Amino acid sequence: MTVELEAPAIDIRSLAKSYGDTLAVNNLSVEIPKGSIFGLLGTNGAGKTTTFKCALGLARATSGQVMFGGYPLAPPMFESISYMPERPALYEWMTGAQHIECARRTFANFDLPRALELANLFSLDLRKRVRTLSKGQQSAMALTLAFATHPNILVLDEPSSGLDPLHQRHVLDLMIDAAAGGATVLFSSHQIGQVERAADRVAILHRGELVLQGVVEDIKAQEKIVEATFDGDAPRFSELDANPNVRRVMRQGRLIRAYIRGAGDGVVAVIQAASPTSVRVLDQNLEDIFLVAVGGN
Amino acid sequence: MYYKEFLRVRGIALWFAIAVAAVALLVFVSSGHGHVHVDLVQPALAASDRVAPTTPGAPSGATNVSRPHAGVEINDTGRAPFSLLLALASFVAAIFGTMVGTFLAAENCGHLEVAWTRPVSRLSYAARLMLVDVAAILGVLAFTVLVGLALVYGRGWQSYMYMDPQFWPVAATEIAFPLAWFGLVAGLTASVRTKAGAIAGSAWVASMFLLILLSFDLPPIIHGLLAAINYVNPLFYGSYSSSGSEPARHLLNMTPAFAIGGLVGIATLGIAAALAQWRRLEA
Repeated sequence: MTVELEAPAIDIRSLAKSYGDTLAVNNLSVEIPKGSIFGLLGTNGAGKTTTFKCALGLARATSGQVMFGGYPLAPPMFESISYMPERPALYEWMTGAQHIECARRTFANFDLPRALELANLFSLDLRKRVRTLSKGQQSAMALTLAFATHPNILVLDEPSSGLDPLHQRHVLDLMIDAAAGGATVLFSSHQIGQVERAADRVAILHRGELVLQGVVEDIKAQEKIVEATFDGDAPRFSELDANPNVRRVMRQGRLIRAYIRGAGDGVVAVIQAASPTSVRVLDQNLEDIFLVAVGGN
Repeated sequence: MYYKEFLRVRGIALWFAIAVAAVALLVFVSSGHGHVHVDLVQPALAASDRVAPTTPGAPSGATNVSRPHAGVEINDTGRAPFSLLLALASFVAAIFGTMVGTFLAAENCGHLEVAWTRPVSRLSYAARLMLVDVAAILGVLAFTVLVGLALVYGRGWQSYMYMDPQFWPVAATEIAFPLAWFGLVAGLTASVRTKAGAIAGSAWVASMFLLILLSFDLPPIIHGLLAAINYVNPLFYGSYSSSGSEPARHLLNMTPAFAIGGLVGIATLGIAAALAQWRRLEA
């Protein structure tokens, strides 16, 4: 019996990037398996775009390295890696059709019928110059170019930005289709609901630091909310502050909410001892998990 | 990559072609009525050195077409060399070269994410763009020469033209002149995200200013410094003439070979500097 150790599609090892005194990304390590959809979450300035740029060689990492399929990035790899930047970096004086023709001449795998099909899906008028397109249409144009090469790896920075809900749905479907076909998708988004729907793995960055990563279902299974109500103002529980599995406690009038990792039996027992009127254990959605991880409300 | 750059320079070249053709047409039509006198003047030359190919009987002084860097032999017999056409075309091509010389700045202005995710190295990408640009510069040069020849032969002015004995060295200089401007502007603007056009335009102003300063009677140290700076000034090499009155020529005892070497040197250094910056850029 032979065991095949398949290298991750993208392996980010101890990546750090600083701009002067500002540390944009600090010691980030993430493995993205082949065929997965990996969502990178974070507030503005968390380091998502910097991570993408360093991974793709568009910015020089201060330290660390990024491997693609076990190999460091080399220009020919862009035949099978597509990148859609946060701000579509298209040439504003060129038409959509000229961008497609340019990509057709550049990439060996470029699929012209597929590109036209995608342009149609996004309702793009390819005769128009990019400067006359809306932000959403420019994003759609960039997505058309990114998906038309049938890449093995897709790196999409805010792919739904500016798109209407219908086209946002198309983007999710395209990502899921690509992953079903064996491609690996790494994307960032501020729309956590979309990430929850499409991604099988996530990582949360906060101020350049990785604060959480893993399989979405596992994270959601681990993260719970214990919610209790009292007759009067909710009491303070010093035991909760000391519990390492309690990520955050919120008191609001008669209500107390403890965001916890794990089953939460111990937390429930502590709260029960104070005779609340009700106690329940809720599953957290990804948005709750994200907000707790970045210290928001 | 070639295609995108082809589209970019095609747009600029088209406007140049229209402008050159329009000027040629204007001269053609106007000279046909015998009202326009085309007086080609070297600013540094004495009045006796002026060359005035005119329509016989036409009144003089209506129009002046001057070109500060005319690297051509002009005699006082009222005839002009064919290389003058090449010199005029070189000037047009130099302006074109200045415009397309901002090619890396144009990529740096928000398009690096697209440019650098092509399956070629950064250097290879830049080299491909450059090939297209250089071909376009030579194309504009050739087109302008052809339009000039069409004008000369169409108006029957060939009897006023002669083949100068130094045609080939002058031709080489005139071909190198726009390439030097291309390289210089590329080197000056490769890391710039915006205002590359302003920098390119300022380079011409600075270039003329440096050349004018050199003609003043300044202290030897300053003069020497100016002369050293002018080694990377394309106008300096392009502005020599055989009239003997041009200070730069006296200073360097400049031969055509020296001028060609200087211009090629500027082009090479400029492009090398541009590529070095291009490799260091970050998106």
